[in-house]
Order: sequence, then C-alpha cells, then structure tokens
Amino acid sequence: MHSFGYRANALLTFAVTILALMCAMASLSDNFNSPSPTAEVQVLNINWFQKKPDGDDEVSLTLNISGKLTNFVHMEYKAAEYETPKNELNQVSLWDGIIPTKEHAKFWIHTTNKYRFIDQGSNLRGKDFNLTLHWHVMPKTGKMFADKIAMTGFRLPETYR
Amino acid sequence: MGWIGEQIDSIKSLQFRQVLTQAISLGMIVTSALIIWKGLMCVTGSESPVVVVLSGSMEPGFKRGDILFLHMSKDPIRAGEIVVFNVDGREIPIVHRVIKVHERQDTGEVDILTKGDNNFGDDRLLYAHGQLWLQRHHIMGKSCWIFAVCRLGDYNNDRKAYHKVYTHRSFGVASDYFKRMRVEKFVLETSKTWWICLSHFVD
Repeated sequence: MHSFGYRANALLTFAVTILALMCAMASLSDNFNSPSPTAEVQVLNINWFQKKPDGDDEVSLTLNISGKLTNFVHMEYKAAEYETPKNELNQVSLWDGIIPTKEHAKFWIHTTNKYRFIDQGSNLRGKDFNLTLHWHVMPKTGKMFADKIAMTGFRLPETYR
Repeated sequence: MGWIGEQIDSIKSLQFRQVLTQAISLGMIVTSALIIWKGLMCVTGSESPVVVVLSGSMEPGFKRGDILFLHMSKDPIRAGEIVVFNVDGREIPIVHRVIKVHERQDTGEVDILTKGDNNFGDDRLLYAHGQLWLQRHHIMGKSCWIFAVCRLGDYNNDRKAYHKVYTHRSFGVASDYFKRMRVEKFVLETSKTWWICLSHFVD
C-alpha cells in the first residue's frame, strides 16, 4: 500500500499537476498583456528591377525598418502584399529577424531584402503594394499568437531598371 | 485435505483478482490515452494533433524535444505562420515557417514556400525533386500551441539514432513491466512514454 512505487507515483502526479497549472496560468496571463507596438518602414532605393530569363519579375529593394515591439522572443516578418490578375493574394517575405530579449525590442535596420522578391509572372511594373510587419510571439508554453501592422501606398516603377 | 485445498483455492482466486485488477487498470490507461488522442484529432482537425520537434531548424523558437499542438482549419495559410508539411518521398514531416504565399484568383489554390528560421536558405532543396511550391494538400496543420517546459529526455544529435534508441527503450521497459505485472511502476513509465508513443515526430 505504501510502497516506494505508490509514493513516487503520487509525487509525480502532484508535480505534473502543479506544472500543468503553472503553465495554464502563465499562458492565461498573456491575455492581460496588451502590447502597443509601433513600426515604420521606408523604401530607400530600388536597386534593380528586371525580368528574369524565365519571365518572372524580380525586384531588389533597400529598406529602412524601425520599430518598437515587446519583450518576447518573436519572429518578425516584413512581407509585401499585392494582387495580380492571376493571383488574388501574393505575400512575399522580404526580411525577418528574431528578437530574443527586451533589449532588442527597439530596433532600426537598414537592409536590402533578405529574400528574393519574385512575382509569379510579369506583373510588377507600376504595381501598388503594401508592406506589412507581422510579428509572431513564440512563448515557452502556451498559445502562439500573431499580429501585424500594415503600411500602404508603395508603388513599383513603371519600367525595368 | 479439504481445508488445505480451500486455502489454496482462496489464494488462487485472490491472485487472479489482483491480476485482473491490474490488467483492467492497465487497459484503462491505454484507452484513456487513446480517447484523449482521438478527441484531440476531432477538436483540432489535424491527423496528428501532437508532434515532437526533432531537429533544430526552427531554433530559437522550437528546440529539439518541444511538443507542438497542431490545428487544421479551413482558414487560409498566410506568410509568417508555422506549418507542418509532408514532402513526397520523405518519411518525417517538417515544421517550418511560410515565407511566400501565392493564392489563385479563380480556384483558390495556393503555392507556398517555407523556410526554417535557423536555416540559411529556403526549403526548395528539401522538397521533392523538381518541386518548387507546396500545395494545400501537403500541409498537415499549423502549429498553434507550444509546450516546451518538459523537454522529453536528452536528445542525440542524430535524430534517427534517437528515434530508434528511445522508442526501443521505452517499449522494452513497457514489456518488462507488463510481464511482471508491476502496474504501479508501469503507470509511471507509461505516463512518461505514451506521449512519445502516440506523438508523431517532425523535423
């Protein structure tokens, strides 16, 4: 009745219950946190803009990204979004980064696009597009959540360069 | 003789009852695990609702041994989300982040490109030969919950070695205890390993 096995089992069950409770409380406490991040982006330059040999358009941009986010580990995504006759929605990630600690939550980055900005087809000339900053909070335990800030009114040039 | 025979019979029946009780409680553990598993499948709509991460390609977000809860709905897939997908000819599904989405105007079909946060390039090298995009049917689910508190054991860098060693070890332990009918210890061992036995693995 009071063998080692029973005691160990009872202890483990108790420990796991407490752990589960703590995890649940920790992930519930996310609801009380309402961050108000800010971000800004400028397209400083269009480095080149061409039609690739296979017929798809490709652009290279220089971006200036600044923002203030929260103190979680999260991934952050700057995606270009636009519509073409073929595709209802095109989302192309241009840059991403990881914010590991609170000290890095405020950032200012001057960069060219990290991932290639290639269209499926040749629709990018004179195209209006949005730049959206997405961030995805990656908790140790609990629900992953995401949010975004959209910035509108960017336009690609009418001609290749 | 009659008195001794009665005693032996009573002992025999006692042992039989104990064995039966242990067998039933064992069955209860197994069925409850199965009920939770199938219940999660119904709730999340994903064919493998709980997965264990094996590789470090999504570090620092997901480390080896983190448990992910997946969820599969009709919601569209968008850039930045973390999806688990199958590649033809590859045994183990992959969990990576979506970096490009092209959604068709008329049919609603999508072309998706993924990349691991810790990888240098995108996933085209991991896809089947000649495959440039993932389609909707490759996607097994989106990761929506993470449980990284109890990293399941020590991980070998080589995931195959890990997989082999760990599953074999736990099954070995299980059958050992099963033979000896030491239910109380078996409960300990099962509660630790049933997640692993039922969970699927992703890279």
